[in-house]
Amino acid sequence: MVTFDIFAQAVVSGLANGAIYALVAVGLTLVFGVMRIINFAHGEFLMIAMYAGYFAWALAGIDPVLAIFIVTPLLMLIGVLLYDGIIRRALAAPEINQMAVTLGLSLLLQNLALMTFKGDNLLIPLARATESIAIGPALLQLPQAIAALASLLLIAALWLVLRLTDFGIMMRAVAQSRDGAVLCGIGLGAVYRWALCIGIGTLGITGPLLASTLYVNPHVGALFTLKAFVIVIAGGLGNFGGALLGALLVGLAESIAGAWFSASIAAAVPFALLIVAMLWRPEGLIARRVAR
Amino acid sequence: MPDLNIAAIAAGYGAADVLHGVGLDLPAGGRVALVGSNGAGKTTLVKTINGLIAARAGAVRWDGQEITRTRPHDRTRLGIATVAEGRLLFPDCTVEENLVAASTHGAAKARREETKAEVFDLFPRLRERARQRAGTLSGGEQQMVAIGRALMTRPRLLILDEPSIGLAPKVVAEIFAVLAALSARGMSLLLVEQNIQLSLRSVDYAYVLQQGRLVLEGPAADLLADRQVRAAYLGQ
Ligand SMILES: Nc1ncnc2c1ncn2[C@@H]1O[C@H](COP(=O)(O)OP(=O)(O)O)[C@@H](O)[C@H]1O
Ligand SMILES: [Mg+2]
Repeated sequence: MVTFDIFAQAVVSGLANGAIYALVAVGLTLVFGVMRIINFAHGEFLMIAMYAGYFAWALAGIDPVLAIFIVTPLLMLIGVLLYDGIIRRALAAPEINQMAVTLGLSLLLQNLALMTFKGDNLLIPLARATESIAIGPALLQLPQAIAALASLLLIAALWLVLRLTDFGIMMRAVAQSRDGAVLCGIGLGAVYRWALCIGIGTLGITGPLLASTLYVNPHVGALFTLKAFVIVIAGGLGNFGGALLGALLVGLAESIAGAWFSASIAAAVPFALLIVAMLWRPEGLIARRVAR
Repeated sequence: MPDLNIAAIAAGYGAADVLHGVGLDLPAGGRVALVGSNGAGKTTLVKTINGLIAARAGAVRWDGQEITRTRPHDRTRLGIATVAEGRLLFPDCTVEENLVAASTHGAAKARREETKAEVFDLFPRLRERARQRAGTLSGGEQQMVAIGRALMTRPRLLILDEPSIGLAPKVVAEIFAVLAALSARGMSLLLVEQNIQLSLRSVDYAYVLQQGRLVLEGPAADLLADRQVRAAYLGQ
């Protein structure tokens, strides 16, 4: 039987996981919203960020919280290179070819990682991993709490940027009408480049923090890509608020199912949720009220 | 030397050729109408001028410079603004954000607040609706946002593709009064309309497009007066 304490623990862990999922999903949804490209390699860039965080600690003893400030610029640079090297060339191609390109990139990066780092599970064993914060009857490991908090802060910061800056308004404009934006004097190339720079760059924050709570291996990204897709689709493709809500729901449902039933059922939960969400609200959890 | 000069433009989509050698001149500060029935190719010509589609042959010259291969957002920055068919607003953005989005470059950005005030003076209703999402406005108000947004780029030429379509006569009159005011301040206008009476009364010179070819041109007053012309081309 599930006691209240176990339930409370599941809720707290679920929300913390959900916050981390949200940040991964937000990057994906930003790129999709602006460029209409589905980046199947999104999780692999998270994997790269986790390895970068791991090696910053293993080779130079850099704390993951500080590693963020090295790994994030690195990931932003990767985002720009990804745009100029690959995506820009794929933009003119039909959608199915674009998918093939990002899917191929995902497999390529996984196998490169396998060759370079082998298949070992790596983890940053922090001293503070044994410390926890009490939230009511539930406990949250300190590194997990830090990762969740950082995610929420970054999501808030991104939201403000999208609302308040010219740059954010340009990205939203492109997301809502490409031709309309172009006729406003907005150059698509620059906006696309920045969208990938930020969309991939956000993973530079998640990666190092996650490497102290979750094993890094070459396939760790694929799991996140899948969950992020569930979240992004359920939340309405390109919809920011929907992604946040979807992520918290997926985190919660997974964790409660894990407490109630078993870990293997928990793993199936996000996809069951996706099916339910698609049947119930095919346009996403937070429907747009827009008349086209 | 006309400000906008279009010479022998051919354009189309995929295998379909739509325009077959169209030419058009617009003097600085002039008012020109492009009329023709549905499917004649008016919007296609507009898109070859603003760059949303590439001309297959011919040339577009603006201010003495050839811009046939210039990218569309650069044409906007050179002073050609389009109020597109279907408006192409940013429906989830507020009215104000729609205006901001069109003033993120160069002089348009530097003079954003000034231009915004001008737009709100032309369309006082937009000032009231500034914080409302554009997608929630009425058709007339959306058309005002579309025109206001085009003005935010600080253009010298305003191209309007069917600005009166689907709007109540009162709103149409309001919008055309604003166009007259803009013209009086020296703005060049290229007005694309199916509503022939209305457009011929608002311009100096007009071109009639039929199946991708110009079949007639002349001073608007002459076209309006000529009964034969009206019967043959203007469907009256
Ligand atoms: N995006 C498009 N793809 C293919 N054909 C198009 C497209 N847009 C317009 N056409 C065709 O081009 C012709 C001219 O269209 P258009 O320029 O929109 O005419 P108008 O604006 O005068 O009504 C029509 O036959 C139309 O079907
Ligand atoms: Mg048209």
